Amino acid sequence: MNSPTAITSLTTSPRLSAAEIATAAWERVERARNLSRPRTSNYLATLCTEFVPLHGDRLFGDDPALIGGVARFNGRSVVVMGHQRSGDAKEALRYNFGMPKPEGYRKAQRLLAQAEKFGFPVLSFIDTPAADPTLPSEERGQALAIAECIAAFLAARVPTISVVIGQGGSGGALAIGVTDRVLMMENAIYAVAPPEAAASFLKFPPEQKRDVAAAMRVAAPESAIFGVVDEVIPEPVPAHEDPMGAMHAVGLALERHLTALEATHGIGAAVDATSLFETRYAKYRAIGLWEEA
Amino acid sequence: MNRFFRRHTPEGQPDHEDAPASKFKPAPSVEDRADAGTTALMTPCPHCHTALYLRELEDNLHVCPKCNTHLRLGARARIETTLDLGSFTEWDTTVRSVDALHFVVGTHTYADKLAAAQAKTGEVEAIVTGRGSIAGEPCVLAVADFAFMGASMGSVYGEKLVRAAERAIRERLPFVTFNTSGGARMQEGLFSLMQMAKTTAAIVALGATRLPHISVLTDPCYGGVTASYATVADVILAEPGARIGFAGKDRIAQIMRTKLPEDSQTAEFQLAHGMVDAVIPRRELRQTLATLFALYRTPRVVPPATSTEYADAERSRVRDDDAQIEFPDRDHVPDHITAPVRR
Repeated sequence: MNSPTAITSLTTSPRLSAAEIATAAWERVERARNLSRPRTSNYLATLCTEFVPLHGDRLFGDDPALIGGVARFNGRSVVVMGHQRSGDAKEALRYNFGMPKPEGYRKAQRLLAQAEKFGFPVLSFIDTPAADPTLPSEERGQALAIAECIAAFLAARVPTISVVIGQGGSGGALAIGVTDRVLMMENAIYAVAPPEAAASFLKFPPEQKRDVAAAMRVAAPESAIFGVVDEVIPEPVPAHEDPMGAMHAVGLALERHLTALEATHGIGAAVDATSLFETRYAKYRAIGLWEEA
Repeated sequence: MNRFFRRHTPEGQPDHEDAPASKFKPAPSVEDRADAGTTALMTPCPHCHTALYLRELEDNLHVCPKCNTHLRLGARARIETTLDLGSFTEWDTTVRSVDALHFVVGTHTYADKLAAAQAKTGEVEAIVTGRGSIAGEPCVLAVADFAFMGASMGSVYGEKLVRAAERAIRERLPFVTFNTSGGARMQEGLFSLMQMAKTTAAIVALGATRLPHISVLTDPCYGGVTASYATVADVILAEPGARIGFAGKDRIAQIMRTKLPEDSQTAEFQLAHGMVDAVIPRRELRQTLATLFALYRTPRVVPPATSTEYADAERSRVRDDDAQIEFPDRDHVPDHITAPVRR
């Protein structure tokens, strides 16, 4: 963007003390992490009919923390995918706290390739604290799996839309989030790293995660200023208190953006991949803020 | 103090943190010592502790002659030891970072961190881009500097890298990146995360025009850089002993509650796990890059009917070209690499 106008609004917010700002930011983080918020599987069951889950990366294994498949969304076939976090503490290990492994990102690439082959649009749901940071994931190329996923989404020959429904954390979120349109729930967060990890990277004591969350501007209304998020979907009632209402709102927003993309770039075999790539390139090319003498 | 030696200040630790503290300390230099008013001519190797003449270390491209530890190089030193002498033209020198988020946590402010990094390194940002040649082969290159805030990727890093890639497309030149980074720059929030998408987009565009991206991973290379443009490459090279990964060693240890084996995440580990194409000693890097540039030259588009004649003509043309390119001998470092840099 390189225009400071949007950013100045960050500094003109009402004067609050640092502690008040940190507390407010942390409330958003905890809301985004609320285990009762609908998760990807709920969205797929509610918004899609005839959802057929597809498993496995055809290379190593299947990652329960990143689910996906083919489905029907408002009458059309689509490829869907998303991070699947645990619904309660008992499930935490099964879903690895919602942190995908390389096989998850390679499954995402496989699904994306299918979408391109058949001309299906792609809908992705983002809800992960971060990609799995363990040695086995390193051995299987976590960094490369994410990088390839980002490149595949950038080069996709079909329209793509992502929605941040809970936590959008680090490259683990971005891997399936480099889409033509990026939507975000009002009570979701989007951050370069989970606040706890960012605090540790910057050598702050763990209790300063609240201040770091505030300083990184993780909440949805502020994320919109970065030029990344195309629409913040309001939650008049937080999604964990009114899941159906929240999912319905997401469904309406997805339909609106998908219709717009189809109108601009075409449907199915008629999709104009060149115009799609050029528009997408321009969107991501413009992100950043700097000054130049 | 000349520019070549400036960043070799023996201040130890990386100030960015995705990357673990490394055993590789920045190389000290004769000039810094002279500035400090001492007369030391020798320094212990940070790894094997052998006493080495500083001049000898510099002549050996900052590789310990005893234990082969590849010491970290700053961006300027990397350019001087890799490119043909005097061939480098730097681009976009006036693009500067701004503290867009007014990032303040306690007494830590991004503005202070930036100013300190600029004072320490003499660089404006963590990446230097431009055009140069290697053994006569022109290329566009982007070189990260770990001494500048751990070469963390923020808006300026992304913008300069993208501009360089776009210029490589315009000038039809191969693109080589020397990567070292602690990851994304936390102080720029979502802007820094999105540089992963922005830089990868430029590499995708480069690839669509059939130009090669050759990525050299140097110590240390972590986080958002390893997980974006740096590994979206046609050839991924790594320096011996370089630590390469997604999550830093400390973070993995914290999550797994166990200590990692000493050799995990080294260049050799990544080679064994199929993540890099080759581990290339610093002394052979020029030769390897020049060979790759020549091999990855895009063939001209010729219809089938004339292709046999074309292939014959092309073969003889390539032979002629090769005769004119002087490759450095593998066992001999050309004088212009070891000679002190004149400015």
